[in-house]
Amino acid sequence: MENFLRDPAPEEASKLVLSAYAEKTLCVKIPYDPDSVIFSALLTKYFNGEVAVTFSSDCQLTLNKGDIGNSVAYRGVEVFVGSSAFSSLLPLTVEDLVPILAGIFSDVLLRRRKLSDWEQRILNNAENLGVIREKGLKIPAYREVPLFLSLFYSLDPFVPDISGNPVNALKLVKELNGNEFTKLSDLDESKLNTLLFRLVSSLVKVNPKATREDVIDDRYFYNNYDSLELGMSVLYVMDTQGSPILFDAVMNTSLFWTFVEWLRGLLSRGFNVQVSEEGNRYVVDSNLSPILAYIVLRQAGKAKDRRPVYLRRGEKFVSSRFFLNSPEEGLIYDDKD
Amino acid sequence: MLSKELKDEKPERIAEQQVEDLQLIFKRLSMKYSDKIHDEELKVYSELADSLFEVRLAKVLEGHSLGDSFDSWEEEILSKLREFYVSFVMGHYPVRNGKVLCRVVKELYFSGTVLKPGDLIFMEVKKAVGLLLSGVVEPCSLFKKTRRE
Repeated sequence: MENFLRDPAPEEASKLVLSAYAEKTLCVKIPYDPDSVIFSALLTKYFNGEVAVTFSSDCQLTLNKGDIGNSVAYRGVEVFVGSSAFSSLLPLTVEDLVPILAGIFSDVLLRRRKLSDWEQRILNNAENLGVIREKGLKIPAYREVPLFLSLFYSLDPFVPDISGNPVNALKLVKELNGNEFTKLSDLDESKLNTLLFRLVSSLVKVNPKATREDVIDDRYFYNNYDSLELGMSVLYVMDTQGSPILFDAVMNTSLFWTFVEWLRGLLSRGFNVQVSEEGNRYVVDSNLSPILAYIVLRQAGKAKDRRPVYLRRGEKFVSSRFFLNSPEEGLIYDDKD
Repeated sequence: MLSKELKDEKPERIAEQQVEDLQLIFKRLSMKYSDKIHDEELKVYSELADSLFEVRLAKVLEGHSLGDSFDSWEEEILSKLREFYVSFVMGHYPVRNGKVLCRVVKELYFSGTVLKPGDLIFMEVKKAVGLLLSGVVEPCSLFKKTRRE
């Protein structure tokens, strides 16, 4: 606990992690989330010996995520890293840029937090590798896809009546004198302000404290990737397919683009989120994955406790390992129902 | 036993008791005598056993079942090995530098830690195959669907 009263020391943690490469074999204990899986896969990628990744047993190298922040412990030395994603502690290279962005931004979305000072420093360095930073709307892939699709795909922020609804998303763009092909960059300042006003007005319906800050942020892009969409896609893929596929993508980074396409495939069918509290769990009527539904619920101030999120699938209920203490991965059906 | 095996396309049923009777004969032979003639005799029997293995293995690989014969375990091992081989070549597993990602199925001691079911281990392919056959780990398939979807 004493360590946690100190300032975060991610640089020190980074050195501590790299010292583990001296081991012949390595065991890493991690929490079950995409950032931690990406971290352990990156570590494994350049480790000569065998590596075990455990979610429960004590190990030489342990990653902890708690309410007051994250820490890394290796052979009796524990270093506090604040809110920084573990993926940000590993060396930044062109080869590993996409997985590191995926780790950082999946964690930012999952924990509903701002980038840490350390992560901003890492992203500043990433600009030398081709990452583009700009102040922009927090809607996915707006540089690549038409505005109405970008609004339609938006999960964070989840804009009532627009997110998941292509008809209403296109209607909004048409109100701005746009059409199916209009991109965000085609809007002039006046139309952009109108769009912002419309988005914030919608957000206020579920979150009375919503402001322009909820829809504008520093946005990061690399090649075709939008970091926001990339983060969301790894949350979705790990939730529905499990951790090994993320592990494989870290080894073969072009697979991350497949994840983005899978997410777009899911969202393009349209989606909605209706939640009810049933005893010791949240039950959501939605065709999203449990984590994606959780991200939407958190924006409305719901699902703050540790109760698991279940999706209703006909007569059955389905959740995932992020919410359940289970050795199974992917979508997990509740056999009790 | 071998001559019978060679006569038919399908594997013969060889009961456990039949093999245990043979084993006893060979054990006695090995213990009782220690001279060149008997050594040669045992060598011939070993070669016949080796041929029996090859013939029955070929039949299993062609899709025949060993039923409840003494060596029916061969079938399970070959089936697991075949599935691993095909999936490995088809890129169904996370691999890199001669290692493959596996999921722990039964508790496994590794690097001072007891790994639990559901944990992951990135290990040499040869070692992974050994542990796969003994049911301790299974390679992580990238294309396994959820249980009911």
